[in-house]
Amino acid sequence: MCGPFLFLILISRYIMVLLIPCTYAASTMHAVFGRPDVAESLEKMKAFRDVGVSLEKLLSEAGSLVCVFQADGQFLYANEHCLRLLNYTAAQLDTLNFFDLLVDLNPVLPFTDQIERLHEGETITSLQFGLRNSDSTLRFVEGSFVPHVEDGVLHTVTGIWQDITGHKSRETELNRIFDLSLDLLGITDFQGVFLKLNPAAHAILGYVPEELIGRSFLELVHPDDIVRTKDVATAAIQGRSVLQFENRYRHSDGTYRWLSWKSTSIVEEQRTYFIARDITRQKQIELQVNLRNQAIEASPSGISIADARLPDMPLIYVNPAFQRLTGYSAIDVIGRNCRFLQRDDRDQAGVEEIRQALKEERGCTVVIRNYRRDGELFYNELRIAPIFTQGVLTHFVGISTDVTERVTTSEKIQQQTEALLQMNHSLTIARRQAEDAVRLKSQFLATMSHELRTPLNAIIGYTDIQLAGMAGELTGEQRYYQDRILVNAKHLLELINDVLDISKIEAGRMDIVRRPFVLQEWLDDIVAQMEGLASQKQLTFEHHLDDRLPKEIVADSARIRQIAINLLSNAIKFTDEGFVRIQIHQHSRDAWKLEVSDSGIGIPSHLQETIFEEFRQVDESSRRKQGGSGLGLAIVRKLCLMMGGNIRLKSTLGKGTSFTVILPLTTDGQTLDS
Amino acid sequence: MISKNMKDWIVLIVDDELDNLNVARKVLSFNDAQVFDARNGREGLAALADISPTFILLDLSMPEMDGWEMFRILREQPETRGIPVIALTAHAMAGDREKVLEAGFNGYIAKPFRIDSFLEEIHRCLDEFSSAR
Repeated sequence: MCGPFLFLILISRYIMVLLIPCTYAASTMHAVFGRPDVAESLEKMKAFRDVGVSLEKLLSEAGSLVCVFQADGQFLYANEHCLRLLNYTAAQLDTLNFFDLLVDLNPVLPFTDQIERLHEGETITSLQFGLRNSDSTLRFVEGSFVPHVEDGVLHTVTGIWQDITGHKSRETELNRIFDLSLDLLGITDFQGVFLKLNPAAHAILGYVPEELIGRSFLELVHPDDIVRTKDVATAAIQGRSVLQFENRYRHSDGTYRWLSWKSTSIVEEQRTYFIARDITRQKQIELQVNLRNQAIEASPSGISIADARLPDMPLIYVNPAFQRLTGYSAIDVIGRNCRFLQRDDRDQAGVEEIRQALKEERGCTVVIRNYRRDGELFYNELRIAPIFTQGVLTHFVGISTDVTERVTTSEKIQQQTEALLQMNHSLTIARRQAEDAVRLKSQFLATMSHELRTPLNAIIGYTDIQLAGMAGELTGEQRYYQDRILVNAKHLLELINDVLDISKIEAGRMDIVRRPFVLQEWLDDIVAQMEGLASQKQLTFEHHLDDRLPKEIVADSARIRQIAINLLSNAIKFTDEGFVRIQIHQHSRDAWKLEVSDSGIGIPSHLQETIFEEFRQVDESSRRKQGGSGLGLAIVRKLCLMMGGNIRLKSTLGKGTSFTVILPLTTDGQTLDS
Repeated sequence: MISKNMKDWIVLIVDDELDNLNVARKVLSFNDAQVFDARNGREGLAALADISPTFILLDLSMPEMDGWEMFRILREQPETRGIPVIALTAHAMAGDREKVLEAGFNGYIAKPFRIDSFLEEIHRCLDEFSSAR
């Protein structure tokens, strides 16, 4: 492409060299023919004319078009080349005007504007323009215009041109392609300055070519790409071609575009010819694909891809996690169906599920037993998903996670749960048996109580009737015997009561029922019951209720009554003179105190610790004398403990005894069930 | 107002034990009360067709119909609802007394009983019953 340009430049220089004598010749000719009054020798005139003819001839031989027209455009002369180009005869020349034939090619600087320069006597060189010939065909011409000015008035203009029509059409074709190209095309000098750029610059970089021409391409290169771009540019201007060099260019909107370059540098011309393609979109896709590839490679889950179009669906990819999980390297497994991870237990439900899913071209999630390369079992939670390309199944992707720990843990939990359930079942049975036993026991106790009392009622009743004289008068001896029957029956009743109570406590069937009750009423009831017994022995019976205590408290009144009666009975039993006393006091903010004291025989200190044990009495003789089962205090102590309280004893032999029961103090609203 | 004079009393004793029945009947009739007896709850209810007792002494554990069931029916029937009922029972373990009074019986006498306390409890119950009216 540069060949013809170079030629043109050379030609125009050649013409420039010729211009000065030519101008001189023209003016001389005018002087000769236009002004005959000037005295010149004929010889000299002939010489000038010869020079003019010679020059004209020389130019014609060089293929130049030579013509002369007046300031108004009227042609005066045209050589053969010129006439041939315009397709007119010499005879038609008189009718032709240059400005009628002129077709301006340069919209930026129209020819008409340049006429002024000719009027100033300035020669115009290297101008390209079009001429329309007789059959309206456009011819392209390049050349010079030499004005002939005399006394400040433009008389004639000599045109010396070259026909560049053939060359121009080739150039136009190339320019059209140049303009049409979607790729960026252009030329830079070896400093990187744009000399020429096609309109694709606008589509790609947002600049019209004129905005970039004269600027260095380095201005637009992404800062991160500058160094390697310079390296490549340096190599290029040493004559090396550039192929598929990629870097980022700044768009006029500030974003960057990826361009892929191909260029050739011509050292002789100090020029680089380039073509660059906008690969931003591909680059983005490439970056995304790269990212996804990296993600797959970095995934902690084993990922494998099988080709569903090939027979037996061989693996075509496994990621590093898959290789770590299975112990097989990619080379070992690519091309094989992934059943190599299985052993003899291929009949597992999970494997069947996979087969079914593959057949139905759907995804599935299963946990299957697989084996590593070293033979170790692992539980593979395998998720499979089909990949469709334009509706056609092409691949399956599998995600493998090692869930061995989870599976074995849950198996262990299952086993432990089963063991616990079994144990629980056994315990339930044992508990039920124990409960049954307790229930039977308390049923037995209730029945025994009832069955023992019933005949005793008859014995006591009949005896009472006889002693009351309801069945006639008794003799002294009969009365004595009836009395003894009564005493023994009562003793028997007491024994029955105590034995049943202690049995009930031991069986855990003694329930504590807390209900609100009025302390004063409760005490009055006890006093009414015990006063008579005390007065029978001429003992003072004292009772006292601390009025700081709440009127109504919540407790098991029946059990506390049992305790009080028991302690009072003992006090009366073991006191022959003096007093028995029952006192109720506030003990602390949340406890109250029941104290039973007497002026009786007292308890020796060595027996005080064991007095609350079953079957203990101060001595055998006293039991014989006083009766009693020896269970009373044991029952009292157990009842105290059951109600969350305790019992203390203070006694001096021969002086008296004092029992203190401390019980939790609860009022209504704070009721607690045991 | 119930008479304190035992001569005016008409008593129905319901008990399956002959000896217990004998003792209670003897004590009451000795004091000139008029005594009727029945051997279980069903007989007791039947006896009420003929007599209108001052109060009923009712054993709890009996064959055919026990004292609990008879008591429930007595309290259901308008014509028997107003008769005082005193439990006379060998169920004398701790809590039994409370259970009986809570059920609505007017009194509770545990077997074995002494004649004095037996009569005392009956008087107390009747007094309480009268004053509650």
